[in-house]
Amino acid sequence: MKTVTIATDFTRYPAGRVRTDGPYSGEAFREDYLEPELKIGERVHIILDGARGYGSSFLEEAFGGLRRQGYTREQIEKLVEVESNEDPSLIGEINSYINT
Amino acid sequence: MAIAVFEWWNAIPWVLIIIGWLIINHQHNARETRKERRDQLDRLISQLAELEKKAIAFHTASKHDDYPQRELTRNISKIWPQIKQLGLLENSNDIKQIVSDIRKEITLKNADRSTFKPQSINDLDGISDSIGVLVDKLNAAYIRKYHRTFSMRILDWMTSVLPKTGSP
Repeated sequence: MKTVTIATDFTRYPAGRVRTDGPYSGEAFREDYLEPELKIGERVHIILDGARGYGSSFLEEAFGGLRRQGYTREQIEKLVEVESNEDPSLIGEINSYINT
Repeated sequence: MAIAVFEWWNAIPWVLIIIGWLIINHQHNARETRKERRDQLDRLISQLAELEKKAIAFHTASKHDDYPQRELTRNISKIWPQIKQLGLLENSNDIKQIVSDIRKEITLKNADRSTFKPQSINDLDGISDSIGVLVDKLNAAYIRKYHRTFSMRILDWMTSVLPKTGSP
């Protein structure tokens, strides 16, 4: 299983939905960190702690965007594990994007 | 020469003094904790009011600005740790949902450069509503925890001490 800590591996300031919003957008995170792992069936553990907050557009594009890319809810639930001790409300929100 | 004989009832005044001191000390500590929590809660409510103002100013601005967007996200991320510190509702799934609703109302749509359009204040009721719901819940939880009547406390104690009965 690969572990990705967003604050140290990606950025402490994730922001924006698409790449034109900035270099650390939800689209960039999904395309560069999530999809490569999902394509090869590798499990990925995402740690949200340490970043200076998350916008919902970032979360929706990063995780909800996987559904639009054709991944099923079951595939995502099986391969993507999200951890947040600093703000557990993020987990429910991410699940809501995966389940819609 | 008189010999002092200790009888158990001689200790009664001292026992009463110690019990009285323990009760007063306990009440004093409880009052101080209540005051501290009220101050913390008032600070959080002020910060939420400020968040609402800043969010409305951001969405009604004539053009997108990265700095307030980042500041809003950071301020939203501070809500949960403060709720946890208050010790009022950190285990409530309702509160997690409300914090998530606040984040969605402020940052899901129209928050990014690529989609930003100046909004009318009438389109932003969701921001005030979600923050209002959180403030109401926190105030209600504070009252439930720190302003219970004596009879309610007795009832709490009895329900915690008495064996639970129920259908098998």
